[in-house]
Amino acid sequence: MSDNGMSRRDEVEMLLPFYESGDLDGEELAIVEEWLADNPEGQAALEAIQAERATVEAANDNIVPPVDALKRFEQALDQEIAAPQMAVKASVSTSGNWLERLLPAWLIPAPATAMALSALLVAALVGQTVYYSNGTGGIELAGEQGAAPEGTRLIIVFKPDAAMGAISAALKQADAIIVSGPKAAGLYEVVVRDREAETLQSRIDALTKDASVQLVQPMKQGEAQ
Amino acid sequence: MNLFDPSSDRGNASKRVETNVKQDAYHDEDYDLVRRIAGGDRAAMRDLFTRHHGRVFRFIARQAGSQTLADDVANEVFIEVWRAASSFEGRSKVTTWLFSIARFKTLSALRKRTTETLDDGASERIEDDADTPEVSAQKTSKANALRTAVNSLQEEHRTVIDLIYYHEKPVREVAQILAIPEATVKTRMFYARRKIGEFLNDAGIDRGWP
Repeated sequence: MSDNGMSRRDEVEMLLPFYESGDLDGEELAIVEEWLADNPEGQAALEAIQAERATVEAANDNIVPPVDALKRFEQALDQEIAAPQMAVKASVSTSGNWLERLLPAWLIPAPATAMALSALLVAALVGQTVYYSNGTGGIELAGEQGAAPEGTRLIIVFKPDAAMGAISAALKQADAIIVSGPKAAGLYEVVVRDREAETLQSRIDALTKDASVQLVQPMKQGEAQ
Repeated sequence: MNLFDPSSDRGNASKRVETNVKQDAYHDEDYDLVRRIAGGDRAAMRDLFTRHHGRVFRFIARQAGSQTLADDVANEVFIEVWRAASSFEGRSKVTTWLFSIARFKTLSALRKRTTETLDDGASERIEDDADTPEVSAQKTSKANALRTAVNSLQEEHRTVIDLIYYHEKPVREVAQILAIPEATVKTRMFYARRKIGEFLNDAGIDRGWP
């Protein structure tokens, strides 16, 4: 068994598609190469992956974009350029993050749909910021190096109007990290690290009361994915 | 169809290096286009659209099961690029940026859509889903059974498979596009392939291990 509870065979099975696509290096590459050298069925497994790839390629290639797509896009772009008030709203920003700049425009369809839609928008916002701000003071995303950290798992919904900086600060203050999401209704799974156990509960309480947070729900044992 | 990797010999290291150089040049051109778009250059916007619309459209259509919806959302994606180009800092590939916008716009559109009629492609896929494996096996060849198995995957599994197999995105970029950990990308791929294997086994098709 490996660290993640998988048998070596499962681990190889998981890595094979990435071996086939040339996306492995280091220890993972060595694991697969060693296994292939010892197991003659490996070639058949690679052929199965190539058959899957060919099937997926054919399924995608069968989808043909409309021939007038560019023409219609240019019409849409004309309208976009002709609507300066929209551009002004989209450029309102408190930082350099591109999605933050889009937030006011995205939140325009306000009252009736706001609650349902805004949760998703915040979800999109957070996801993008994870992507663009990693390592520069933005929100931290678990798993880039493998397994999620140890700690108390929570489900969190951020407020629709929460600023990116506020969400980032709240998570940092709580020593928390997003491990998955967004899920349905903009739910995020967050781990509050327990490396300072004596402050754990106070950090969770502070996160719960933070102005950027709409809902915090502890996860039950075995609920995590 | 392989835009970035003209080599079919994936084990050939020198060809892989050559391919990487070509990819780098391609991505450099993308960065340059976005820089020009940020300056309001419509010709650059047109070029970027022409280079990437097809893949973005397919990515959306496969997730949504609707080419009608894909048409609208793909347009929104490129409008978003026009608006946000000046904020793009180049920390990711342009294609990864495009796909991440497309991902979230697709999810948003799917949640808003409540009564839209499914187009032909989606209906066809649902028919496939409705077949039992035994029926599928009787009426299809092994290749068609594999196609049915792939199309019957859950959306989150199918999307990962598409990004890896068709769009040839490495794990790191798939994680960025879907805003999930890299480990989750690998496990989703693992379970997607398990599902395909189970489907084929149930249909009486033995493809060996796994």
